[in-house]
Amino acid sequence: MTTLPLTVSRVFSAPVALVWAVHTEPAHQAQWLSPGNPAAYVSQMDFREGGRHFYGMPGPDGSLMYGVQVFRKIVPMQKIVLIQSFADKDGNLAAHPMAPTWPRQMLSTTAYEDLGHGTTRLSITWVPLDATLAENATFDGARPGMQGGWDHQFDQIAAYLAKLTA
Amino acid sequence: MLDPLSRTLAALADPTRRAMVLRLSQGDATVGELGAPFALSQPAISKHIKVLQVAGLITQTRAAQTRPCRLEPAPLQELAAFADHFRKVTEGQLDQFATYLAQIEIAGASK
Repeated sequence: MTTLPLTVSRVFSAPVALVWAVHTEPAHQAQWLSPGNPAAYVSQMDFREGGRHFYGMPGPDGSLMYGVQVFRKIVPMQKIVLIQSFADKDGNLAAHPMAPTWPRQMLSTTAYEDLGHGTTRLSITWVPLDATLAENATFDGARPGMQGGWDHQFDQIAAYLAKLTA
Repeated sequence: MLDPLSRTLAALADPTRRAMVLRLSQGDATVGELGAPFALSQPAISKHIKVLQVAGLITQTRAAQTRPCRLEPAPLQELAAFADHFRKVTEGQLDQFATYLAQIEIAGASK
């Protein structure tokens, strides 16, 4: 079972400059987001605060899954805050093709942490956003309701669900 | 217009409502029992309960005169499944990231 907000973290034995480049540059992204077929990766990148990244990558069935990221905050080699949406092939925002009830927008915060000795921790946190918040809020740490104790509480809810299905 | 999952999350974005959901995960409770731990007015308590009802997270039974509230598992199960799936996708992408990073570091070292 897992917790919300969703955080995935990994330590790489590579310097932060390299992790940053590989994670943010489309030429590199094609290599790891579409490892079987990098040429299939589509990317129109406007990498600046307020800029937009439209991309398409092969999904499980080989067809392209399109998405749009809007960059809210970019602190080179430290942090990126963006809003992630699914999209159609023309870049219009859309529901997830295979999961229509998937949240339309997710707020994503990626932290790049230089741990020294050429190692870097990459942490990605996702919070589903409702449309109103996405349109109106300033995002950097502006969600007090989702902080504090949520992980623990969600674990308790998960325990409840496990009890129901046992 | 919110999709069901976003509606669930919006309802759970408030600590008082999360506490109410946790209380109900221990068993049914009346409106009075749900509100008792909080220093809130009766209308404020009722509003929180209403939000949870509209989101489909709880129902109020008509079985007894006290009309206890009950937790509905479906929205929470959907939330748990979503979280699980999303984490797996992100972990999978980071695996691919690690593989590629290792490749280019080896290529760089051999130059």
